Amino acid sequence: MHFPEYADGMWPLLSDVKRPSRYAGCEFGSLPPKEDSGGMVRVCLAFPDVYEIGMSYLGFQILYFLVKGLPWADAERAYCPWTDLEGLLREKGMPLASMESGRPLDRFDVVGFTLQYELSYTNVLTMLDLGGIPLLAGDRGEDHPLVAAGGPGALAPEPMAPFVDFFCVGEGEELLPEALKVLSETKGRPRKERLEALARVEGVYVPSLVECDFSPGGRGMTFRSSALPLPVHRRIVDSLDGAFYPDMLLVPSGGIVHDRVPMELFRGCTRGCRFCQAGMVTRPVRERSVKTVVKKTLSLVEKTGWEEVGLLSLASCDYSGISPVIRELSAALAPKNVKISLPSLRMDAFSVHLAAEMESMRRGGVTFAPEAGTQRLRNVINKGVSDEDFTQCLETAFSKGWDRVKLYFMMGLPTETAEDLEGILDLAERALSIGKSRGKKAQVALSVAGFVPKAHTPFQWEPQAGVDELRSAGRFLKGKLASRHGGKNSRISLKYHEPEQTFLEGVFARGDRRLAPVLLEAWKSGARFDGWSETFSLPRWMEAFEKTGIDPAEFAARRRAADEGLPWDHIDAGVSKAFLLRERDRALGELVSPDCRPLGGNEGAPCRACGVQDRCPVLGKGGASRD
Amino acid sequence: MIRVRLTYSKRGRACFIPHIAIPSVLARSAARASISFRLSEGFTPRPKISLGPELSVGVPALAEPFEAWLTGYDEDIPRRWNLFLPAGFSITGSTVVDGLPGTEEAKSLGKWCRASSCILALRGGESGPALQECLDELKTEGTVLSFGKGPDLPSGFFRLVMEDPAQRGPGVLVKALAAREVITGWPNVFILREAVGSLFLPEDGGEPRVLPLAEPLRVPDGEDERA
Repeated sequence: MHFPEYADGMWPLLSDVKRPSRYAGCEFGSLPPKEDSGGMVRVCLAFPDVYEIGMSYLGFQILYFLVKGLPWADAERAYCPWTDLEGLLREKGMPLASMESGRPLDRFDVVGFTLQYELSYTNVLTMLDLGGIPLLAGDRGEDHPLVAAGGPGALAPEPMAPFVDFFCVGEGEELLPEALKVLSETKGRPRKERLEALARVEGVYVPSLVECDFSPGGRGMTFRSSALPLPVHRRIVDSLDGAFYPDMLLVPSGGIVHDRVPMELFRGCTRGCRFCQAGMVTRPVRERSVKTVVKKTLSLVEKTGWEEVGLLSLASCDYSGISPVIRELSAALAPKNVKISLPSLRMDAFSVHLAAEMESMRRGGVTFAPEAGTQRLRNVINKGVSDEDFTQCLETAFSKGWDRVKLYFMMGLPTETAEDLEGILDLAERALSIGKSRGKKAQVALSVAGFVPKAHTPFQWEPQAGVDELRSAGRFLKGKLASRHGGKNSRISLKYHEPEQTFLEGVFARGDRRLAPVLLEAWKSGARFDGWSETFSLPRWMEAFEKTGIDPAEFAARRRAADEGLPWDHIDAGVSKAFLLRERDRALGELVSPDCRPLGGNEGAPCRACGVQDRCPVLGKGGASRD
Repeated sequence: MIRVRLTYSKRGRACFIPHIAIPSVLARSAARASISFRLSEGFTPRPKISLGPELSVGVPALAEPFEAWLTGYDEDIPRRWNLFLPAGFSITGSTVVDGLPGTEEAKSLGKWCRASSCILALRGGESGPALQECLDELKTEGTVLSFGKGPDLPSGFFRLVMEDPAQRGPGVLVKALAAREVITGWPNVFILREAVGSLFLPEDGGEPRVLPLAEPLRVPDGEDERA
């Protein structure tokens, strides 16, 4: 008898860690590595968080199969090992390797990270280090892989610039094949030459070819480069129907966070919420046609065996074909016991009616995001939810049978007052009383997160509320809730996010290259998985700031002048600075900017010239995808 | 509706996929193979699958029993199912349960799982006299029914038979070995569960054996149709 498990050098390590299924692989749908017939670019798609988070990310599902389909490239994947496995790998001197073939990261041509959130940046360093790749781009030699990074983090890339050889700015379906083609054609050439060739691809930002000049005093900066034109423009696909979407998906065997067929309905959002980076940087709105959505979904359900489909986008209820898609998919999938879910619900009766039709949505509670407690503050952030919407939405939810409601809010929003915070409790009480009037013993769960101003949004110049301020706001809410109900109302629960992580996220969200040494210092002193409360330590970070002589408040806590050179000015995300400034002024004037998209019989507001109007299918109040 | 008793193997890194995830691995692969299930009753109907006794994470296996209630069955189903299982998993046996309700044949899967046989070896060192001595003790106290070095096993490997796999799984074995300081824990030991099933005690007093609960599939060595 032969026992390959006995010979597996990883087995003793995996038997000694939490959740070893994270590292088991055993997926259905993964493809074997390709033979290299010359010029093959081997890419490792690296997700800087654990497997169950990374496998829930649609982007890697798309990019994995996209690269697999290119004759000049091949893809494998790696995820960040949890701290227990990291320790064991170091102890045994074993490298971090790909899931598919066990190839160590330093034996790939490209290691490409996705930067989904700032608190995963230290995990990038962990993966590079465990993979045998020097952390700083300047320390890498000819034999080392090129380190790439994409995702939202590439739109404000400077804190990571010293660690990354090139950033992919924009949508991978459009940019990646071209960039990998260049790398295939220049394989074997000196590293510098290859980076210069890459820099000529639109959407590629090579930080080593760009100089950053700080203004006197260190506030404000300008970028210059003799090797590439600036700014770097974000690449986007014009039509989702024409863009690559895989015919197969990787199906995990262990549980992951979003364990379902992901079907992206559209990209972009025209709602114009002023706090929302995703809504700003994914413009213009581009819809996949109903026909394609239905055809692709049914095919993927059949090929993957998944028992749930998630209809994804920034606001799926805004999809112009949502009713026919749900109707057609329900008719085909209900007999197969396959459920359909919408990950986010808009606060209106239409969305609630829609959700009530879906069995998977009827389980548990229903979740809405009014974001702010008063109409005034919702106007400031341009969250198009009126008091009437709130009432109508809750009435519909309770009448449809739900009795548990979760409401998401933010604290620390620009212009926020105590009255706005109390408004959160007012809304919770109103929800309870609506429930009561419908004969329900309702439960309302409030979740309040600290606001982080992000790059490429109208609030990019605004100061972020500090740790103490956010903690006071959280305690204020807790105290008020207790005093209103004498601590006896168990029907309203309130949780607020601890503000330390919010603060650090804010520093890196609008940081520049001077933060890279801080990141390195914090990582060296043990910072790992900073997005996870069980591993996060603010004192460790404050020590790193102190050691490197960097004041984090300079990045997060001050109001920036409108004419200050920003650390992401060399990246053109699509929306123009002029538009963002206009929107900021409207925010401070508490003016709403209505949706420019025609929806539900509404013609849509006039175009606000956000910067992407030349490529906007909404502008013609129609567009190909609506046909 | 047809009740089918099957066995599956879990090899390589698949041994780290926990028992709780197995129904979904089986149901999804069956869906891909267009094998349809009878659904369980209740608010959230799921494919009706019943698993045998829990197998600890990290333990590979050759013939773990489970039952599936299918809407139809033909002899090609196990082969088709195999084509759509993830790497590391295979259907290794299949038997249609055709007993009438209330008969011996129709009793639940758990009642058929009377014993298990395992292969045991130490990792990173010789499986020397200490292990042999420990197994003797475990046999004396009744944790292990029998053990021996089979002719088909490499040097240092033992084959064990244990009764009542629902209560005495590989975890019990590891605890017992660790308590006797033969190992420090899971990283020092290799256990593979060969079979779970009925206990066969030869009349001639030979070593007890465990009979798998489904007819083994005839798949020639090395043949794997999966792409």
